[in-house]
Amino acid sequence: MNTLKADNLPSNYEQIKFKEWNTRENSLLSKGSAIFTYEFDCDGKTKCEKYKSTLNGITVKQRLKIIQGQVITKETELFTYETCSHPVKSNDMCAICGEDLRTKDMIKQRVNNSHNNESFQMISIDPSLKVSKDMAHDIAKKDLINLVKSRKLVLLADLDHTLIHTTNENVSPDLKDVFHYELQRNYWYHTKFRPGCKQFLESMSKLYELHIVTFGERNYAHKIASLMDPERKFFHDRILSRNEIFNRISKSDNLRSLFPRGDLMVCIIDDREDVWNYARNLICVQPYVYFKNTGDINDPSLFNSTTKKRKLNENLQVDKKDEESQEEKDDKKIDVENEDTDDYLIYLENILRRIHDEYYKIYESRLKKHEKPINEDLEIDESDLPDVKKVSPLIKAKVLENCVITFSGVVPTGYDLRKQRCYLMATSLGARVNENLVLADEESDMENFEKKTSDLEYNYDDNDSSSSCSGGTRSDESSNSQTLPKFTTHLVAAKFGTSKVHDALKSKFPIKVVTPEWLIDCNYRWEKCDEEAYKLTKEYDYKNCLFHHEYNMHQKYSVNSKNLKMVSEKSTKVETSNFETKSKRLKSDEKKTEVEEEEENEKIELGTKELINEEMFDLMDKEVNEELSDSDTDKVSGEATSESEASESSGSFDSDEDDSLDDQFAADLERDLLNKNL
Amino acid sequence: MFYHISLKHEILLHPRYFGPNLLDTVRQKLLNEVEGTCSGKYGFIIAITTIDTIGTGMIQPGRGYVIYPVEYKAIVFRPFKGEVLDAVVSQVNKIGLRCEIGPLECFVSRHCIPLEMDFDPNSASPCYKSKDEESVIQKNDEIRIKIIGLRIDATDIYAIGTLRDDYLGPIN
Repeated sequence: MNTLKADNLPSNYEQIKFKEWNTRENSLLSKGSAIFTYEFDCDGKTKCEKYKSTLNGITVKQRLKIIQGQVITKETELFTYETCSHPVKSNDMCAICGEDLRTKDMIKQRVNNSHNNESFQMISIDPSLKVSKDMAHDIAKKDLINLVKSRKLVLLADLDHTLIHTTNENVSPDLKDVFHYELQRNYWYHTKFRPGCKQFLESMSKLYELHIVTFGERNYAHKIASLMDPERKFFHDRILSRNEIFNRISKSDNLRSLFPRGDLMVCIIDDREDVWNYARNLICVQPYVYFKNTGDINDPSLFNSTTKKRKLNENLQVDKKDEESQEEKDDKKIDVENEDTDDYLIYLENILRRIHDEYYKIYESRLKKHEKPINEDLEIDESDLPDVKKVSPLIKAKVLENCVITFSGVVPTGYDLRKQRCYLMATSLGARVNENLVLADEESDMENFEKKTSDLEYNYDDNDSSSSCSGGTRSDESSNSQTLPKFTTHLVAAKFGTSKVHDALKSKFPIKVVTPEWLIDCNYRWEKCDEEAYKLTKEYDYKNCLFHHEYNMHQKYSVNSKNLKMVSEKSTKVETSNFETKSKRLKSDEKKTEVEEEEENEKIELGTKELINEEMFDLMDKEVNEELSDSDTDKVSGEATSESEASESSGSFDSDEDDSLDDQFAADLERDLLNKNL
Repeated sequence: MFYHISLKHEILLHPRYFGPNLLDTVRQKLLNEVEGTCSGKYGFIIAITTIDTIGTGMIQPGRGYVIYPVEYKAIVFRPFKGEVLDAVVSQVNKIGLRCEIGPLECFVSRHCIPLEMDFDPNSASPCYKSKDEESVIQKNDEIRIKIIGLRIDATDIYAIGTLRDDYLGPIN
């Protein structure tokens, strides 16, 4: 708090008398605005003048007592004031005092060389608006309170392949429910909404505050929003497009800016996990494909590169040929699905409803525990709020909780099962995975299995929950693990002829032999699908199966993004501990991995082997070690899976991690090289 | 504030326009090139009222293009700090609101909106309203603002406004 003196009074007059104030308390003064009026004698006449502020952007806090007629000198104190800290900036101007901050800011920005940590772009539609940290936290707190009051959560929704499918290719103009529009001259877009999209948004808008987060360009995103929601009642202005996303390939960087107080209440739906760094609050949706042979037109890996686009087109053409030949057999249409039978949004709605209900159930039970009134509008304590990142995995882990899965022919030999996507998928759904087929040999096993109750409560264990609660959770968990059957209940098999399939079919107790699609669909729908529909038959061809492609694709993504993440994490760690030489080396490694990734996308795998440094492998091994053991310990505390199993697996990770991962990388590389040669 | 001032501009003309309608082309081109633009010095050029003189064209050596110096009178809009203006709200969010005064964009932060008006995110369109709902500001409403800050670039002007002063706010 400073005190302003009248030091700018004209010095050539004596006896300057105070007349009246021109400012009020708590008003904002800019340079040149009048503070008070004074009188003075000039050649025998009394004249009035206004004393004007020399400072810009100050707020008058308390006026000091000056009475009319009091003589003022340069030493007279006028009032206490506060200077503006410029908490809100719009187009590099302070939005509160109106000062132009460009000159100062420009220099600062050049020094920092990136968007500085102190400002948040909270309004997704308006990136020129920047808010300081304190202010952002205040606003975010209000948002949280508002959300809790209206019993809502936040839902970030992707567009392409999640809610819609868009193509640039020529489609026949008389397709049903397809929107045709032109964003640039002679560049037509054709968009089909996923069936039930409007109803989905309608019912979700009651439970969630909806946001669009897409890698599409701004005008595309806004066009889709206006088609989907002409009255702007679902999304308002909450649209985040490529123009506003900080990172070229990842959407998760914007989260901190949009939700400065953390993403406790944020739920995400997207068809790609990699762009969200495999966040726990992400629901990976089944990609929606209506226009065959059109991929994601806004695929982040295709940015800034025409060559890549060409490559993709080539790839697509190959796919197209495959599809065409297949299509020709049944019907001669090539462009679209004959009938749009996609009903995934019904499942998705169900999942989101469950998350929402569970979230607020936990919240209310916590309030009850702390003896706080539920419907009190006034105070909302953030520590009472559960985290969607913990709630949603819990719900997911209930899906297959009584299943014991064994894989056959899905994971290539020599790969570590525990790092495969199918394993992670199965365990995230709460199933237990047995490496080998375990047959039930005693009647009692079967009886136990049948007796099992399925109405176990969700155990939400959080850091701040009381000790008695966590104790209770532990005991529940152990009882849960006892009820889990020891023998395999489901065999997920890719081929009919394997010995595991043979054994399973011969078994006394019916083991369900299903195709990998069963697991995938369970994973998308978050419910145990009917096994009969996915029964493995002799005709089943794994190569043509969606899972085969997807599995490969996802693995590639996961390996790549993990590498990058790990190396970059490591490099920042090293940098902070001042091993400069080492960090330099690591940085160069990082660059190499980026190069590697790009090239891999372009399917030029040849020659990448030389780029990969031995050292990097070691590094990644360690990181994977940490990461996996971390996630496992989380599982022990957070999920209702068998505790013994988790600890067992984390134990085994510690022992044989290094070798197996090296092997996996070698195998990966070999496979890539093989692909190339083929 | 609006001014009616004399301005100068040079028109570069392609030789294919040399013909009977030459001067019409020059006039047309002047309107296209000048109206709706913004210069830091004079502000937004809203409309050309009269074209006073079209000077003698000078053929550019080696190119064949002709440059005509043109003098014209135009109405310009030059905002000033402290000026009170009527604006149309174009966007309302939790940090503040954005409004348009013709071609001029202006941002009014929440701090400069009267204390008794609070942001309401739950209504059909986000708005600022007082507790008794007597005064509401939402998209497409007309408001009276006072400019507290201006940034004048070579080709653009950008403003910061306030509603915290006497007689400012929604216009009924």
